[in-house]
Amino acid sequence: MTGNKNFTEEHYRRIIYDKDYRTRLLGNPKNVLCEEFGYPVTDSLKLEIIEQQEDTIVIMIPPKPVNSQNYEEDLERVTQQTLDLLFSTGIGGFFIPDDKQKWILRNMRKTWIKKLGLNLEEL
Amino acid sequence: MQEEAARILGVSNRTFRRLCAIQQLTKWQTQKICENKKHKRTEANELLRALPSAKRCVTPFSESCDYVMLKVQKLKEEQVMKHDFELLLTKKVWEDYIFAEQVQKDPDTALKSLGIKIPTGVKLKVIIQKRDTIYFTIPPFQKKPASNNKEILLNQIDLWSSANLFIWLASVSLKTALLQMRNSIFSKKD
Repeated sequence: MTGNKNFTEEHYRRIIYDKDYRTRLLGNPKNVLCEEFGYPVTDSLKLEIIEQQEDTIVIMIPPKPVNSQNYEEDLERVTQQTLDLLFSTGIGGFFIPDDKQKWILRNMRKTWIKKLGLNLEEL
Repeated sequence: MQEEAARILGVSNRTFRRLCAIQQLTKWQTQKICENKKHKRTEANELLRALPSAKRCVTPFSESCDYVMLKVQKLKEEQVMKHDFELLLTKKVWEDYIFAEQVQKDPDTALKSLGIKIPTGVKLKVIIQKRDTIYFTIPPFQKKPASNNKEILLNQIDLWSSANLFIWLASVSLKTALLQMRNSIFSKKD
């Protein structure tokens, strides 16, 4: 896999086709993903898997705002901004609720690229 | 009924009668105002359609007639808002922590209690996003095809700031089921 810029696709292939790997990932998402990405397992990192299935509709509800100045407005805003994500064969990716997690995920990807012996600039 | 409608709208009987006298509110519309208050489903658009012409005639008579029209419009908006699937569900989850727990554990029962019809054969999963959690969504499991060039071509997504979004995630084959569910809230009987 080293030197292959399709490393994310390779990873998804394993998730889709490799039953053992998938079962391990579902059983312990944080450890398996951190191992994959070469990222340290910490308590502060929280990770959940959302498995797509042909017969299942998943609904993700926005979290209640903390210290909201205008509750009604928040309620309208987050429900008007609705995303219908309909997949054909499947979709791979991350939902990142807020900015703190943004930097965690970005760092995870950096360590992943490093672990694979790749240089982002040269991909 | 006129008196009741006037009371609901918060105007005097005289103002309301004046309004009816210039035929801007028909008997049917008056009835609708009363029904509205009783939380019955209303043909809110009919009320709105009556608005432009009504407003034009009413303004010179009395400012309180303007007020009536605003009220009518507000009632209409409230009706629509109240029946918006995403809004109703999110509001319930934010305000009722027992429901919030139940909807994650047993979504079918919880959603049915809101009058939502769940199409047969459809499984549901409801997640209330946590701000401290990264969600990794993975494609369905598949048997490896005999030939590599028959493997799926996967799309990828990163959704930043998802806390500000209400998200549906489903196979395209379930799109009508999704619409049925979303729509079923409109036929709810209070």
